[in-house]
Amino acid sequence: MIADFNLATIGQVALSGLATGALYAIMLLGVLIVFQVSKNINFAFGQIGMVAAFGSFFFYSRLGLPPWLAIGIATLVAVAISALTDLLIIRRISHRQGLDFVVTLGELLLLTSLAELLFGTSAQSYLALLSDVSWTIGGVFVNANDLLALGLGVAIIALGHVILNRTALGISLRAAAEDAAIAESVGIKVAGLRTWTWAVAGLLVAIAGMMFASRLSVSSFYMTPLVINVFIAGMIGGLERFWAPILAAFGIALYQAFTIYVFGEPGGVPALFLLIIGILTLVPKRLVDERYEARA
Amino acid sequence: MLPKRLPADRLRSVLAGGSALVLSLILADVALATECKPDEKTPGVSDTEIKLGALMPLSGSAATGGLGAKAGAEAYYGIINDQGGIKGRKISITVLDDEYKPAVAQQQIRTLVQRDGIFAIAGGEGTPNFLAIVPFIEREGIPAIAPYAPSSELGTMKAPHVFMTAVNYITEFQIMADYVVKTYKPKSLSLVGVQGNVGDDSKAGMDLAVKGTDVKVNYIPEVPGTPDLTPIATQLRDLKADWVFLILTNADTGQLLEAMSRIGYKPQTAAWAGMDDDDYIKAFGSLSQGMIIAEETAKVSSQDSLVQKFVSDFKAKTGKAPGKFEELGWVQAEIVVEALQDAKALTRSCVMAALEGMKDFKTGILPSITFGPEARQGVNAVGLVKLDGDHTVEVVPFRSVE
Repeated sequence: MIADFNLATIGQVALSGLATGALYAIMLLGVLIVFQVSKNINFAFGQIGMVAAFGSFFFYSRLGLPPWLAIGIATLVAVAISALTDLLIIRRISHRQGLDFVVTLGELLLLTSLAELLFGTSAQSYLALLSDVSWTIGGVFVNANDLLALGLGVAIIALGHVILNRTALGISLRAAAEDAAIAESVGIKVAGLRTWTWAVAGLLVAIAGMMFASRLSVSSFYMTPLVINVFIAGMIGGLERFWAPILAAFGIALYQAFTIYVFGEPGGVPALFLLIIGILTLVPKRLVDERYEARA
Repeated sequence: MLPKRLPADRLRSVLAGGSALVLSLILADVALATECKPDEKTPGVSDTEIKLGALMPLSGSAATGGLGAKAGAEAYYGIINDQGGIKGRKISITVLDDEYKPAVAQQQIRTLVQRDGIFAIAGGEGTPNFLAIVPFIEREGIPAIAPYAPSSELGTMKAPHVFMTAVNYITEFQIMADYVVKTYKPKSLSLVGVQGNVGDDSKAGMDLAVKGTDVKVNYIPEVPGTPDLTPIATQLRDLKADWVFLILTNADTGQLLEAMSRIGYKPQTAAWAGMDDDDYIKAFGSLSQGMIIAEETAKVSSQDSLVQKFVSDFKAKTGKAPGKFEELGWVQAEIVVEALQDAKALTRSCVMAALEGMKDFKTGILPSITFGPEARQGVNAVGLVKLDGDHTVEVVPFRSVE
């Protein structure tokens, strides 16, 4: 189905795409710091966000806790799961290449099964998180949840950039990412630093997971297609970089929003893979492959 | 009395032709009925066990339906096994996850047939995933009993091994759209439906309902599990339909209504039978108030004695209260057991013959079920309910269609 465009429609679709892109970017930041510091890909990453959302849903709807407390406790649980994944598992198998894929895939299945057992399989309506506040501006229905997602995305990305580039912690992280042995020799506790990056990644995916839940709904599976898009953005932009994958996250969300609007939902996935093929085949290799980057 | 006298040879010719026609119709009927062959070699049946199989979405956005139907079916087979099974054999049911994906279903059906060696396909949940395995079922000659896969491609002799007890979506959406058009006089309708046969059938039903009126039907196909439904919600808002009809998974229905609400589009809605589900109403009831919902099976709260017996038996067996999907799995199992019990022997041909002989079988949950030698659509009725608060109220009782 080919839809008609007008300015209000373009604004509406763009706003939604940007908000989704901001949440992708928050998740991707978590993927980037873990990959850059630990060289690991965590397949259970999205499900840790699901734990935060389903956990907070459980705490406020079943146990009657105030929403802020429910969100706080569930976020801590997600952070703990992520940190413990590194502390108890990844750290012990770091010398066996590729085993982290298997382990985190197992963790993904475990978290999914546990969520089904504890919370059931039905999708649940999550906290509104400002979804019920809106204004109409120039024909565009501006929802406060969209603005919250955008604000969080911009603030977290900016903060991440400052920390990585302007602080001693950032220098330590980059040193550990570049060469762990040399970093250790100058007194940086690389193992501890890695666990902290996993914890921060847990925090980031918890924030994104709860925001997505407020925009969609929460179920055992809702994060899976989202995290796939995040990994695609990372693949296109390069997991060793910062701005390119973050921009790719926004780009993918906007691109999907418009292709779905124009071609209908069945066109969304093929359009995304056409984009990936196009970028990987047509864009010069040095722009998409970090191995060709000049390093200082 | 003939209106006027015919020449003798002409009369003889007419009588001979008529006799031949009657004879050929009788012969055709006999020839098309499945012959029960008790000695036929049949996999999946031993002296102690009958192996049945089903595919259902047990993960992904449609998992609610599959897991509920699985629980319902397992509870019923458990009760039958507790009572001694069928013809001295216990029923063993294997339910595999097809994720509501046709490609996965095509793999899993081979696992059921080639690895597990099942006797028959007992129930099932989901149309696109089931349609994908129909060619394999027909090629292998496996009876598929009461899958929940409403489709105009099933319920006919094009797929003679599939015995349908779910009314197809053409009929369901025709009745629903007809009610909305006549009751609420909308100017235009929109439909968001799962891409493929499900959405196409629903659109065809709505087109039949608005035929001869000025009402326009817009159709937007959807892919289950799409991460962000806001672009679809924006499309719907731009189309400005008074009513939006939905035939999506429960999770996607809720997510689309969330997205529509977020951009300020709140039309009246109508949806397929899956939304008359306690879990859905609990989660998304506030967004779905006034929704017209098709009613394919009796409400769990029905006063019908057979439905009440189902509820009490299910509770006694599982310790839980059943929902609509548990009810669906239960009634599928009930039909399977009826066919197995009626079969003269536990062979595939005899079970098919037993199903063809099923007449006016009452479950309380579904309208009466009748198959025949050339009839594979056992049920052809649907009712309508309206969501009001945290429960649904009947607006149109079960209505049969021609």
